[in-house]
Amino acid sequence: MTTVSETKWVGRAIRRREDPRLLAGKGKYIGDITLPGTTYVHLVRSTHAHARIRNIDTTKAENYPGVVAVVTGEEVAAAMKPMLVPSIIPRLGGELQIPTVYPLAIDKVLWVGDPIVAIIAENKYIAEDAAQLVEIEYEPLPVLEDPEEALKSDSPKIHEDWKSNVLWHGELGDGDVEKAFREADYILSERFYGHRTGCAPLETRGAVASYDDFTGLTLYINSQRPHILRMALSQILNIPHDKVRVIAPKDVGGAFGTKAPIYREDLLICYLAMKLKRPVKWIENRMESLMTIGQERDQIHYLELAVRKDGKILGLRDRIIADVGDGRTGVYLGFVMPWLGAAYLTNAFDIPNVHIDLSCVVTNKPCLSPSRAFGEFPARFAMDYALHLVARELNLDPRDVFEKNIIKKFPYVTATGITHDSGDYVGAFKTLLEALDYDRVKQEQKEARKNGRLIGVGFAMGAEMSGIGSQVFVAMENQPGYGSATVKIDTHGMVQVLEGDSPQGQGHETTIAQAVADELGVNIDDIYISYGDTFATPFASGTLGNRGASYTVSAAVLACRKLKTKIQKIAAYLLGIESDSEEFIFANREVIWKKDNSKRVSLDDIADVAIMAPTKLPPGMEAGLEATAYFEANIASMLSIGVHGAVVEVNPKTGDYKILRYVVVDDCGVPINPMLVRGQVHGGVVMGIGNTRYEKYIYDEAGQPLCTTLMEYHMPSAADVPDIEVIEYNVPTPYTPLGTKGKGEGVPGPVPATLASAITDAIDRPGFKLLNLPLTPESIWRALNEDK
Amino acid sequence: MYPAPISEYFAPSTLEECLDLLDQYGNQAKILAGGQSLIPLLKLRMADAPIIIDINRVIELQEFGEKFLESGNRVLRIGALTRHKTLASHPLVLSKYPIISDAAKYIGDVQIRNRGTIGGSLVHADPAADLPVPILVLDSTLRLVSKDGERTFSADEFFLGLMMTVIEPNEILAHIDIPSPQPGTGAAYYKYSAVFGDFAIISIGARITLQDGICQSSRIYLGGVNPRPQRAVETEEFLNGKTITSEILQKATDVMVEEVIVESDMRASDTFRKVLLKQYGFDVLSKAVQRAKEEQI
Repeated sequence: MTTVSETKWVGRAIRRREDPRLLAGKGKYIGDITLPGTTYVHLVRSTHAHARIRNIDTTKAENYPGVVAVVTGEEVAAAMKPMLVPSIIPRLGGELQIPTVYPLAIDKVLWVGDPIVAIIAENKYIAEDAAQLVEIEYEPLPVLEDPEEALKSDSPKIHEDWKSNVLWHGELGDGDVEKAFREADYILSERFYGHRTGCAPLETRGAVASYDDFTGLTLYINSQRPHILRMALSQILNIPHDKVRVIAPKDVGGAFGTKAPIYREDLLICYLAMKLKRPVKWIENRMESLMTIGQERDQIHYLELAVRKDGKILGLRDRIIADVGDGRTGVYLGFVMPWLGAAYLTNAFDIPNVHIDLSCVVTNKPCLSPSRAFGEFPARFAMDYALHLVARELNLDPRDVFEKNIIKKFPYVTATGITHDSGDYVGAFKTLLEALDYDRVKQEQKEARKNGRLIGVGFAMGAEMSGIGSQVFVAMENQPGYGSATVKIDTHGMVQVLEGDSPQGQGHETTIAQAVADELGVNIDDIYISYGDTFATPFASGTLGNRGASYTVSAAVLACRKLKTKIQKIAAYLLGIESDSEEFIFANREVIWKKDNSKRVSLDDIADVAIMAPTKLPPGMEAGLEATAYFEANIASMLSIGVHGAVVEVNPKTGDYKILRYVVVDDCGVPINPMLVRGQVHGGVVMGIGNTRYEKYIYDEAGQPLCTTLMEYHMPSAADVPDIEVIEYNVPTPYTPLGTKGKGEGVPGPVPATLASAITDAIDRPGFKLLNLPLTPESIWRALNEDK
Repeated sequence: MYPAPISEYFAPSTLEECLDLLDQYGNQAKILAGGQSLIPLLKLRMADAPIIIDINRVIELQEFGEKFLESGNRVLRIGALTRHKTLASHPLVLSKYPIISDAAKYIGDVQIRNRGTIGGSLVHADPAADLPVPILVLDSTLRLVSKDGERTFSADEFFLGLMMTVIEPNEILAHIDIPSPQPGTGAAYYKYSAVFGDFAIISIGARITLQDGICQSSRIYLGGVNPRPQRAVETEEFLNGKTITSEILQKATDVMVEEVIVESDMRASDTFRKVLLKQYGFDVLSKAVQRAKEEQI
């Protein structure tokens, strides 16, 4: 007889259940999906950054053997509504000018890469051959690359029906900012710039669509949010909702935010399948990908801090100018990211008086798409590095300045309206300084300096969003914030979980199973997770913004708990016990009466009764064992803290720097799987280092992208990054059933200020500061030689 | 990113067959060796190759080892199909020509080094590639063959400019001969790149022959600085005949920085390239001297 033991799965660093199939090359990605009779799409894209289209000649392409169809903008536009329907337009107040968007350019192109013509062919080689035969006559227009130029009233308008090039303008903040600045002992005022960078997922975008008059449209797409896309497709294409099925493949090779928007290509591929009544497949190539997605950050901050002489920040003013590109993607329109950068600008600090003026300006570049540390990357750089500059200016120890300003009481609502739910930010910060051995490093720094070596130590905070509740999310992206899950026990006593989100490498098959295994007292091998198919899963907003561990896992737990009530009633009935239903333990696939451990029923027997032999159920009880839950935290939003610290050595002759140590103290409430949390932190730091030092989407004056292959967009490899030390400092949140919070989305955020402050500390020269990203050796060398 | 139509693919197993094909197709044909440059160029449609001649089976191009020439001189013969991996790790390279390993071991990544060939790299003639510099520094000779016969060039004659060499459409690079080092010779190479294994922002290769502490001869080339690896002639002249000290190497570095013609691009400005040359020039010269003292090349 088995003893009563509750095997705890949550908290164990078990290996990912996804990995065996991926390591064996048996993952099922969008590229692996081909339907009978599939045709292939290649897009002819603009070679000009801003031009009128004078003529398009597709004759030669149409006559190329193997070409199925050649389609241009007007035809596609005639078949649908403008893409930006109200359900995918954020409602963030302020002044918003909405572009009219169709899948293909009609008379004007706005950036190099703007899609103009779609070639559909029997195979992808033919499609690309024929694309080269399309002749397009352009009339070049003045190119706007600099958002500050585009802001000027005499600048040409990119969207000609707009009154300016400002897509969105608004103000955020609260408190008496004027008073704070009047009372300040010192005012820091600097211009910070975070360049255009972001991410480049290994798997690019891709879609396979099919259509017939009876079942309607089926779209396989590696989207982070299939349910939202389905809704939008139905509205834009005028197809009844029951005739639109969106399926995200089981495996998606990374997204980092880039697969969250609704793109013009998504609509195009659907239209082509409807037109041709044949399956249509489009896989974005690497060049298109680097020209189109993963471009984010790109903010200028004119930041002012009103500071008391002890380092307390009394108030903050910021004028942010964001370069959002053409602004033509659904859900984000390029401006939600900078808005988040503004909303989360004060980071983990208690700054009561804040005024932020944000202008999101269109330019002749691709629209910003979300990238991990979503809007916050340049904002974190400006805010946290500014605190270090304050410390230097006032001759204070930066750790005292940080400590004085870190949020201490929870829940805390920032002047921009962001709710910090719980945590111990000061504790995490102190743990970092201990781990860095801060005092000793400062001592060693002095010793090293005597030998001509420049060592420096720096740090920064990152309060990252951990999902966003409906209170905020409905306004922000016009979508609910809840997590959703259905838990079903099947005829064999196995547990199926259907989640509404759609992971892209986060490991839901592992983490959700760990949580459910504990709730139902089963082994994780008894659990299978289904996601991605909008005809089978409950509605939810998608896998993004750290929602998984906070909202989706919690929904699965709640669904289990609903089921457990029913299971206990069945158990009591089968055992002939008069029992209050909450008197049973779930362990080892059995339901065991707490009062007498010999009274137990196996889960299999209960499933058998509930599903196959309902006559044995308690009289009047409904058959079946399934429950759906929608989890909404009883708070507007949750955040999880990460504190980063680095020790660097700088070569003053070249500006090159080496990261000697990189330490992260991290809180995710309760880690469901510590190995996955570490993986998220490692990956996030590497992305942060990449964005800070190596990666930059460069454009020349004519708006031509210069980084269209990975030979120019330099992502770091393992050889370029240091060992990353991770220290857990977890404070369970009271707002989720297991105390869990999400982790991973915001991890890159603190990296630039950490490195910039460490380098500045190493140089330790009055007036030396690093106000512009990226921090390349050349940029540091220039900063060193400019202030001489 | 799919290549334009390829009408014929040949995989000859002898050099003779290969030369026949080259003679027949000339400009229409591209030679496929390791494919590390050609395949990306085809996929980007920056190169157009209706005819592919895959030389991976041609045994004559796979020579590797020391050889006595008719002249009696001993050389290291490197067949054009020799992979970067061999150059990075072969005991013969490590013991006698470590400058080649210095360069080869930081080309790209493991997969690239397993596939990529020296012949492919040299005929591609990317000024920021790793192998041209040591091949130039070692005064190598390159043997080109065609149906019409054979031609031999010094490495310095071989490279003409940005991705341009003396090679004719019907020719193939067969092998590279590297002369045996004089006693007391050492050589070293260093590359500074944006990310690990990337093309050079600058690269420096130097060879120095010492006798009783005096520089008898030297050869210095700089890569990544302009369209063709540049020889630092004035620096060589400055070093030749001098007793080598740390100060002399420092001064030689200054001469090198002064004489080099650098260009700006996306990776670095011309000024910063000079900063890097000044920083690393001394290190490379010192390493070459140290190896000379150890009687290595």
